[in-house]
Amino acid sequence: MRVLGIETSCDETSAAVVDGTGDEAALQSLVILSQDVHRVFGGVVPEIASRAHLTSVQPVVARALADAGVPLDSVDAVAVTHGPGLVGALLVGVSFGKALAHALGVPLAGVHHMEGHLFATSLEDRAAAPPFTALLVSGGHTLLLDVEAWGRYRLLGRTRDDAAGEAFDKVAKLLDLPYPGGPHVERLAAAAGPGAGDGLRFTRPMLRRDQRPDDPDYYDFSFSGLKTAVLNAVRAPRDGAPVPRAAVARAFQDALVGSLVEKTARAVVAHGRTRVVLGGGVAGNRALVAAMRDRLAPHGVTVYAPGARLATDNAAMIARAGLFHLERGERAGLDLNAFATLSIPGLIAA
Amino acid sequence: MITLALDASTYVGTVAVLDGRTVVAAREAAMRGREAERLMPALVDALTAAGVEVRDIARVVCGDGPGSFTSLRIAASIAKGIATGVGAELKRVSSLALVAAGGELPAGGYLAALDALRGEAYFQRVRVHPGGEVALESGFYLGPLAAVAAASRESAAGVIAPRETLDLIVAAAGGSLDGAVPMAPHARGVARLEGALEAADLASWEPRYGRLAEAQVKWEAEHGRPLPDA
Repeated sequence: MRVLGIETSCDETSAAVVDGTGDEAALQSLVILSQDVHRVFGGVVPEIASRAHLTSVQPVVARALADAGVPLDSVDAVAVTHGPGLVGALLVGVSFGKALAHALGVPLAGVHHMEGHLFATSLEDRAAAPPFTALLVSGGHTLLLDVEAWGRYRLLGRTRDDAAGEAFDKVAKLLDLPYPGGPHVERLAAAAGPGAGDGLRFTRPMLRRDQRPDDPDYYDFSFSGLKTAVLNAVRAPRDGAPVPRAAVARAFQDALVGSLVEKTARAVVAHGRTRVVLGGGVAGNRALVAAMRDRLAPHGVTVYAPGARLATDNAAMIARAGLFHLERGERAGLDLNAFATLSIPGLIAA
Repeated sequence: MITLALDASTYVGTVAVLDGRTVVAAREAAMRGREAERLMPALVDALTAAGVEVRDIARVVCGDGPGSFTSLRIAASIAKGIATGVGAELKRVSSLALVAAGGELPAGGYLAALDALRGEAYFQRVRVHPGGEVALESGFYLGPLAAVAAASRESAAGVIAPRETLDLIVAAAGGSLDGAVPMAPHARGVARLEGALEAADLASWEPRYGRLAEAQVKWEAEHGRPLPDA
């Protein structure tokens, strides 16, 4: 089945073509158009993002088809992100996708954005398939899941305040770094070298040795306190001298990564998994991937991380997740709507 | 030639299927549904009622605003999706013109108006010719509700607007306004607007929203220059 994916949940307009069956499906093309306009605002402006999607969606789809070398009438189905995300932005993709599917006379699948991230890495490495422990880390979400099988997701933990990517953006702002902050903080942290620079160390958030598996915060995350710690470090000079920004970035990243890695390790042990799959924009952070591999490799666990294009918001993962639902006979109606918040389909009780 | 027309400049979206200049089916849909998006089902329902297959559509005409940002985009996205899928020509038409053309009016000059929120309205001079053809006589303006009433009195052109918007304009005029007629934009009005249709580029076309995004307005006021990359 050849699936055209469309993704417009935030500030990337993306289209992709995925062709094949199940885990053998292959990515034929992926086009991602990022909206640079939001940089001056330090964050995504929903109305501006929505307007940009409308003038991008058709050319991005046309380009994805051209890159795949396939005509429009060879598309067997359309898959589109319908939540969670910015509703105005989502509605452009949803409305265009519905109309296109109807015009072509092909089925439509509505895809949960975060379920898409679960599938992303499998397009690059077919071994990144269930069962596995998943850590999804982006600007809007931080989710720790046990994935028994595609379509069966056990939510173990989530952030109680800021998402990991959001924390990177806020800390970047405190350090006078541009938006989006993740790559800039990572580069600055790398400049500090190992040892968290100048002895600065932040507490790993929501991570205590005496936590038990039945504690409500055993798998959960919290990053707002870490952001406050950064703020205090930036504002309060030590011995009359400001703390080097690189040291602050390094200490922040070490604390955030430390929390993500340890909670993921807990989930791996508790569910006896031998694979960890990372997803979302923060999964592109090399320090996170390296720390996760260092921590879990001695236990025989393989860590799969997506490449940069599949870590960011993209339509390839939407097409792949859509393929999964379409192969199960699931179809979205033409009244498909967009939702700012949305439960992942297939979520089972923890 | 089969034309699919749609408009969603207000919280009521409208669809019409035309064969030549004859309206063969028309539908309306609320644009504020939380669980379901209703304009696309209304479109399919209209095609079914008209006995027309989607592949038979040769032209898509979409309301070009001004009006509700999100609703305009839903209609525009659907228009682009259909036009892309069937290879149809895409055209745009003023949503204010669809106010005048969407119903029956005596020949004459009118001020078509749509709510712009914040005590303002979008308005445009239109003319209904004998026989019903509608033509635009100006670009559209954005101004206080009272300005619409004043323009109506000055030009002796009756205001035509959706009921809720008209009530606001009449209230701003002091409680009465001669020649005011409640009229809502409707896609079936495309049948009377052949001369007012404009080509729309499938890739780059976007509706005339009537306002910039609020964040853009603030940024440009603060920096004294246009927003880069916008």
